[in-house]
Amino acid sequence: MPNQLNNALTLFFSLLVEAIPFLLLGVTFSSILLLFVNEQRLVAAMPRNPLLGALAGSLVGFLFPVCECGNVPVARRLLMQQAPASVAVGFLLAAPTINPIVIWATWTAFRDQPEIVVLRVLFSLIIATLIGWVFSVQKDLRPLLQPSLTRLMPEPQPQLAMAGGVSSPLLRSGTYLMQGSGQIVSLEATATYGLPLPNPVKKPWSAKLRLLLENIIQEFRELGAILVLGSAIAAFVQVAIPREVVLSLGQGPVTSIVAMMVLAWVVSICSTVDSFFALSFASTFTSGSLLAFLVFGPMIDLKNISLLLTVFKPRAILYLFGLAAQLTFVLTLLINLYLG
Amino acid sequence: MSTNRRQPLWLALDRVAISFMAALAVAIVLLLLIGDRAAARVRSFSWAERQVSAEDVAFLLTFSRPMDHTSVEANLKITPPLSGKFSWAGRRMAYTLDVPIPYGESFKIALSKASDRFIQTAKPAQFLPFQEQFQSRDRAFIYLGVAGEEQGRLVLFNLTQQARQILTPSNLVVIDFEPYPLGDRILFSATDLQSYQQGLLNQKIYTVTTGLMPYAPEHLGASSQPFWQRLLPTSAVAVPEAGAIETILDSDTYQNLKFDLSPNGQLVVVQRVNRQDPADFGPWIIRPDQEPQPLETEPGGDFLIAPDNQTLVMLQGEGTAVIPLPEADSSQQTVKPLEFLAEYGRVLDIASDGSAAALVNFNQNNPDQRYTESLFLVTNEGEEKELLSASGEIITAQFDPANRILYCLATELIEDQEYVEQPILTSVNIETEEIRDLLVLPPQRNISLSLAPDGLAVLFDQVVSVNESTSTDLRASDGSAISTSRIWLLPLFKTPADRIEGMPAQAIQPQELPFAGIRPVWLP
Repeated sequence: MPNQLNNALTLFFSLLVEAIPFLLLGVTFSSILLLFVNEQRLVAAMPRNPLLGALAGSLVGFLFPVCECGNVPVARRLLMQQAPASVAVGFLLAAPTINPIVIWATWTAFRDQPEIVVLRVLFSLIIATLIGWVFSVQKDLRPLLQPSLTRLMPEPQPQLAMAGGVSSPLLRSGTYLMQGSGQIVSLEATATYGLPLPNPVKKPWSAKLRLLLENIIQEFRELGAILVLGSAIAAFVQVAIPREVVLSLGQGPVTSIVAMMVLAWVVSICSTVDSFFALSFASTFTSGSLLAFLVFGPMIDLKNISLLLTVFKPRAILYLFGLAAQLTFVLTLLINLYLG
Repeated sequence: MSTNRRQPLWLALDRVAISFMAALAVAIVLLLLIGDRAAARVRSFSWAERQVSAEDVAFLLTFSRPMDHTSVEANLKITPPLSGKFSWAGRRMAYTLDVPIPYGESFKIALSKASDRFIQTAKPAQFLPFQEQFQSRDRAFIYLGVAGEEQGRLVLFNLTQQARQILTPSNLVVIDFEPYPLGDRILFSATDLQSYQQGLLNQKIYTVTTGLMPYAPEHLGASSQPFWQRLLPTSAVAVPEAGAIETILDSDTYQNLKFDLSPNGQLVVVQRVNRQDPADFGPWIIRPDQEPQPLETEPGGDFLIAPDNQTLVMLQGEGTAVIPLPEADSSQQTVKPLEFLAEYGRVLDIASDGSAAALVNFNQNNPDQRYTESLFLVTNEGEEKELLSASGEIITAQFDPANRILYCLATELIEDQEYVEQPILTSVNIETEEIRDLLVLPPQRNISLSLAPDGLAVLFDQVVSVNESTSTDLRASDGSAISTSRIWLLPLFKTPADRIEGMPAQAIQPQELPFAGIRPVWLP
């Protein structure tokens, strides 16, 4: 028993030590880019074709290297700034995986199986684009969004105006609302995430730096706590559950995928560090199941469902969740059956 | 007005999302019903098509999924067989050889069937049969020619290919030499023929290519190649021509006396003396693409770079000093010894893992043993044990590649003749301290010994000296002129079992090689 505790502690600390640098880096990058990338210009540049929009949205993660804890506020801002549904949903699902820090971390962990890195990116892109495309059939997303958010959104523009320069006057009005009206402030109190920030790109340098530091510290505190919890669960799972049980779960082409998807959902570990977590299962679980963990985890998990509820109505979340789970299952099962 | 507008019960998204989910559900069911399992396979074999050396102690097999260990261990076949041990880490299997791989052979490795760890599932998964090849490096050695056009020149003899080749040009008289770890180049010191005939000390230090370029496996535990390099196809390195000379160190201001090449081939230490100021005397460090730098330490004698490539073991005063070598980019060249072994006057060899060293004690402090020499083993834990003593001289000692046996060449005084010393080759088992006399050689003054990198044979020379000499003659290390010299090859083991036991045979006759030369040295 003391031996097991020792093992659990060793595992726990090794997970933490491996993961924390990536978390710090992720948090720093996300804060810097949050402050220096002009979202309105970005939204205006997005293609309006549903499929291309979804793909472009999925790739925006390269500019906002945020994990799944940081992507909900950003997606929320995108929606408020009239980004098409396909772009916002594509971003929401893909950004935690399709970004340089996560790809690098995955590569660091899975040096011996480079295909895991490639397939993780590829599958995340496919799934995010497809779901983004599905959501694009809904021209007016507002019935599926939380009222607190729709109230901040301007009326949908006629198609013609949509294509043109949308952003600046509308945004100014949004900013004005936020700063000026007492009603909005009360709304803010109910939903801490997704403040419709006034565009920070235009602020003076000193304020920017202060914001940057605050953002880094805040994100690191929130995400760091989740990481500690996740590492503890991971260490506990590996020590407490008998190896035979884990092995028998991990070896069936189907059961292993289901087990890893459930694990990803429960553990809710941040995408910048989840590859190190998955690595500890690499010797006993099928490649498909590791991929399922790495692809599905960042999209939907227990922790970010609470964040998603600040944006979407439950029905929309159910579609996101269901489609992401099914697509992940199909793709990774194909890997297990035909490649792995 | 937007929030109050009546909304239809079913939105477009509901219809599309639900039908898409239904379609996916059907696809999943179909996949589960008809899906097949891919066969498990070997993803990579770390020695595939490589040329393996004695340094490579283990290979890795990486499987596409976790395997059933016993099925793999039972079915893995290497021909000709190489005994070893299995160890597993996830889907990787390591096979560690019991003894270094014998040189000059080709091997086949095959795994025709094996089962993965998923055997509990209903359908047994197949295994994609695996077959690969690898070689060990060629058996080859270099020697200093003494006859005909080979005189004073380095010659490479490849036993595997039965080919002999002169490496150095005729205008250079080679004094000393040492091969690089890959065996692709030889570091040597040489004097131009004119200076040599005038009796001038004018050694420069050069390298020469051997024309061999083993395609070595990646070092285990070395940092992996970057991602992009792994995606590129790998191929064997181009083999350079033999005999390409490069000057490493001139002899303009300083004379070069003795040198040693570090075991990793990255560093040369040269004992140098200023031509104008003989007090300016000491070791210098030469690194590739850097200016030579003097190492500020007490003046010393014979020296050796330790297997860690970071320490120099040097005779200083009455004992042996262990001196740290400064880092490549360090400006500080003054060093203090880490340790001083006062008892020992010579270091003969250091075990390749750095665990022990073979040192000579001249028994100065022991009146009973005066004029005898003792061979000591000193471990890195500070343990010192005397392995053998000789009434003559302990000439050399070498650890075998597994660091289990120490081969020692020592001389014994022949009782009934005054001042005649007889060389004897002995093996000492380091664990049991069992001493075996392997071969008694005819009395001679100069003799050198080289143990093959795979530990299977030794080479030694038998020099015939003459007293009358001309300036063109090659001289042995004691200065006497050499008239001719034979090279002998002595196999050490009779059976593979003896090899694994570490018991060299005592009654094997050495074979004389059909050419004249001195100081044969195996290529690693």
